[in-house]
Amino acid sequence: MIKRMFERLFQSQVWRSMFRHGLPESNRTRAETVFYNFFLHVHPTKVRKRSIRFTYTWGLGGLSLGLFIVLTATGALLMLYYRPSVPQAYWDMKDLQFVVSSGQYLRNMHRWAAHAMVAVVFLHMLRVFYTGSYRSPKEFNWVIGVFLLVMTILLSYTGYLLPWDQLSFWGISVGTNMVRAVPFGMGETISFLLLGGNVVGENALIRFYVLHCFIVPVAAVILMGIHFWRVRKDGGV
Amino acid sequence: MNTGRTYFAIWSVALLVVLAISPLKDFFREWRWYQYEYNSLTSELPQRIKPADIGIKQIWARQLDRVDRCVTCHLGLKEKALSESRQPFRAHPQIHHEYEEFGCTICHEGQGPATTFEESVGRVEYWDKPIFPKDYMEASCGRCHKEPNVPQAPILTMGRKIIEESNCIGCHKLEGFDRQWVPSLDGIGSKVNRNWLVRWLKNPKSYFAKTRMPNFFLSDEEAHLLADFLMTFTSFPSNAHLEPIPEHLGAVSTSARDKLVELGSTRFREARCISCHPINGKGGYVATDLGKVASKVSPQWLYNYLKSPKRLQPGVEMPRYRLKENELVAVAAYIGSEFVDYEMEELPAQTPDPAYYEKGLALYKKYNCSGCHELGGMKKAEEMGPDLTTVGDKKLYEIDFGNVSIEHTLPLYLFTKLKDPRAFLASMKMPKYEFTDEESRAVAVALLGNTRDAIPVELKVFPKPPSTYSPQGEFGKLVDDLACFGCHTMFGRGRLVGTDLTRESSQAQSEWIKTYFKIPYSLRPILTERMPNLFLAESEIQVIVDYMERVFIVDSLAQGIHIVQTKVSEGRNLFFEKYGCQACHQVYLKGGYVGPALDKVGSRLKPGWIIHWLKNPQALNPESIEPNNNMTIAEVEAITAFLMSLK
Amino acid sequence: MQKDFSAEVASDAKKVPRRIAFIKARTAARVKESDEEMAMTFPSLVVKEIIAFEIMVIVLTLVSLFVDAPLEWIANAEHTPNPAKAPWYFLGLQELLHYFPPVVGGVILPMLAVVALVVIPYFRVNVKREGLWKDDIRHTFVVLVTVGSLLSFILLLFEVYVMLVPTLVIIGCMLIPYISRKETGSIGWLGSRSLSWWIMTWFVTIAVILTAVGTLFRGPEWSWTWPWEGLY
Repeated sequence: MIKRMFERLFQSQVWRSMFRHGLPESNRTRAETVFYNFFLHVHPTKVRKRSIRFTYTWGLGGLSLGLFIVLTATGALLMLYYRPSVPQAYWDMKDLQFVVSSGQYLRNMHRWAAHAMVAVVFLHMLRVFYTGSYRSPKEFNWVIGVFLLVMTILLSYTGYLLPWDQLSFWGISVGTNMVRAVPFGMGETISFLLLGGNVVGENALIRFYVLHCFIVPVAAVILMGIHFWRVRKDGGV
Repeated sequence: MNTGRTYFAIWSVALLVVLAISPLKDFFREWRWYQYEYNSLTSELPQRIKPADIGIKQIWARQLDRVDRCVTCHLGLKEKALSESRQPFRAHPQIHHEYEEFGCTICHEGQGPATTFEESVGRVEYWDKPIFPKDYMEASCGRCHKEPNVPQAPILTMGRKIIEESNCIGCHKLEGFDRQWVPSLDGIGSKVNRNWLVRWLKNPKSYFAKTRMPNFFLSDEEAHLLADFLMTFTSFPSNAHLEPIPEHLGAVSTSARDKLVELGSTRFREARCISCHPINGKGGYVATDLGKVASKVSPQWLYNYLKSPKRLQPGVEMPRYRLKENELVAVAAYIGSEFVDYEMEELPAQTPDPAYYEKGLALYKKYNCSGCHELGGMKKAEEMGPDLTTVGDKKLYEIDFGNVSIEHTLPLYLFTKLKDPRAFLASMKMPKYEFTDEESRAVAVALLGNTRDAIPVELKVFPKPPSTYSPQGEFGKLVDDLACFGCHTMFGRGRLVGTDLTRESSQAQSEWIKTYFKIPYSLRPILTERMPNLFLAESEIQVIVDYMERVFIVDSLAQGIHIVQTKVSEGRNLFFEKYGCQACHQVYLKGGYVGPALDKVGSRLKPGWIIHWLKNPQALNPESIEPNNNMTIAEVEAITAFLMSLK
Repeated sequence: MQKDFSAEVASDAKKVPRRIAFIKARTAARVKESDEEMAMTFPSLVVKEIIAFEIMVIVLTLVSLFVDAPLEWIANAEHTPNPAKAPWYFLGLQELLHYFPPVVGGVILPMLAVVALVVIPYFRVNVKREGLWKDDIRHTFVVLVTVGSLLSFILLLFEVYVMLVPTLVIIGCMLIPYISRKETGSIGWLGSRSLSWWIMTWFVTIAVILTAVGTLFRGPEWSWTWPWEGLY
């Protein structure tokens, strides 16, 4: 009975308009599943067994993407409760902790996933180096990968200021003071541009917020698109 | 492939389960249980109490920009039936402010946004304003109430008084306090003996237990250096010098000397010196103890000082007694023979350090003596100690608790610091004031109210501007010379050891005032602080009375007076029978001691005053304990007629 | 390799499409002539990916349920905590700043690291697969000892012992195959490591140690503090 119902569903015009193939039961339909699916089409329909061996890649690239997805999801929800202004930003953290449903869980997820992502992306880079996967023709993809690592650190760093507590304030102050050491007055300029002033304050908060929630993620997504596309074109998964 | 599917199924289910934990945890938050408990508690009570809707509740104090969620669990704050209930449901005691308008944390501190017990009490790592201990609650009053006297907050008021009297602003920046008068040290070398000075510097309280001068814990060496340094200042302010005691008055023979001392003793009593000066702890509190003063100052200084106190010590609130030359010498001789400290031993002679002046000056500066004292026109060091105008905002992480094992809270830190200023670090410079626990707590309370949090100005209560009353002319000169403001208040200026004189001539008859100046007697004999006999000249008294009749008078108190002599007996009956006034007042040498004696009230008070007083005593003196008997006008007039007949 | 090109040949042409690769130089990546086994992306890879993602979310959730993200006092520009620390991934840099002048520790060295990472695939030394000791052994030894001594001297000069010790250890490991010359076992494995491998390993070790020291072993005034004496 139920089976027949499902069969009718899968053959209905509505279903067919969404998924143009039947259940992935034959090699053909399995190939079509990948081929016709927007999310899966970056993958080839067939892959080398060697390159999907877990101990070869450790799944680090995929995990990086996974963490990015988790961060985007939790981050979008956190944006609903967050005001990038002084001192409301801090009180919004308290509200997340005390009154928002699962607010503390969301914040924890976002925080720990962010730390994990910095580590995982770095490990991914090591893996690529030690398996020699940066060699021709994938030289440029390595370069993009390095920039993605920089993006990841930037994302984490810009997000670090947003809770507006002592930890974030002084973490960012220390970081931007390092930038000031750049010679020929460039350090001062970069730091001023970044903070919107000479010290960490409300301007810095709004700048870091925009960088964290829009500019850097968009840049990262674009780089990630190129990164994945090139992996595929160079014969990877 | 089947194993793949199984794993996929297992992990998917596991994921769903794990994702459900956080919403569940959220649902079972502790406040929910308190609300259920409240509802079951109130449903058992005989009174009808509205059950709480389950959910987080909060007070948004709009003016203060605060959100307090304490009311999520403290549900019965307004329910009188719950005044004995257990916490968190107990009703709030009656207070002067509406908590729905101001929230909870503005007074109690703690973490307002929190919704768990631990976090809202605020004794957690990253919250620096945990809930105030009960003893310190009045600190919060001080945040808005900036006037010196807050009647509803006695501890706060006491603390502010101590801060003012201890002259804390000599070293600390504080708002709303006036600099206290402190003796100038100019001429100290001609005034005191070095032996006494060293002891005084080592521990001022050993000489005079109630002195305002704190203990700086100077070492022997430091005390000697500082004493040597101070002894070099021999000329008084405005370059005044001591006059010699007139030789012809100096007593030579023993009998003459005894006579002199006897005269001095009489004048000393008549002048009622002990109204202000205690003798070995007994007596007034306004001025310094005279019990051992002969071991401190020279007779020559005493003679000069009594002759004209303000010449040697400008600004001092000591009246210039109208004593004759020989009387001055006599009083000085009496003090010199009577008030000797026989236990004071001579210090062993020492050769002074050759660099004593520089070293002494360095010490004088190190301990910021010029914060209080004047010396040689030296500039007052501006705020040596920490700025205390926002000390109530001090963060816990800014405080070094040293090795002191107390709970790390700001109230306890301040309390401990005031009890023992060098407890946290021995090298601190703050001297010790020997505050009692109660005093230390009061000062801590007053300090804790110094915050800069965003309280709108319109919610704050500021002190009234100081009185600008300053009498001129002959009367003005007398007021200054006799230091009247030292004991009396006139138009909001001056101390209140004696009476407020602002309406004195509406109350007292001029003739009575005149005799009072000649033989000041007390209406309430149990008081220590009595009006001294200033030995004023007839003409001076006339100047004073004339001025009082013109200025210290309220016209409305003299209007609409009808005294009918025939009513005297009716008044007597009312006085003794209906109202039983003799329970507190003496008449015909009989009666109570609570109120002033009324034996000769008819020649003391003005009838208008009596009438208005009987109508409503508290209207004339809000602190009077005389009951308001709501007498009829006729009764008031009859009693007044009776009282005016007592001459 | 003598051939100019090589073709990938599979026994079953239906399973594996034919590919042709042209090889222009000897240094380029080798193309193995192999018959590689293939798998359907769906479900072999896709299911694995989904399960990996699920496990990751589960782990994150469990961590998030038990460990709260830190939230200290509200920011206070007037009070600098002691020590003031950057986020952990910058603590290696902060540790460098402790030893070197700001321009060197905060600008030149990190810039060098990023540039070095970017240019990795473009340098012959990185593309070479031969072991370090394959070519001219004497020459390699002289260069290695010279560079190693110079580096150690600089580190000693600035008293950077946390970098000096791992540097010496790694140089020691590099020298083991020169001394022992065994071709098998772990020594043989060490001997087969290329120069780029050694450089990267050195870089990663230093980065990890500096970050760990900065995170766990630094207390007030950036003084050495054991983790059990308190984490700052």
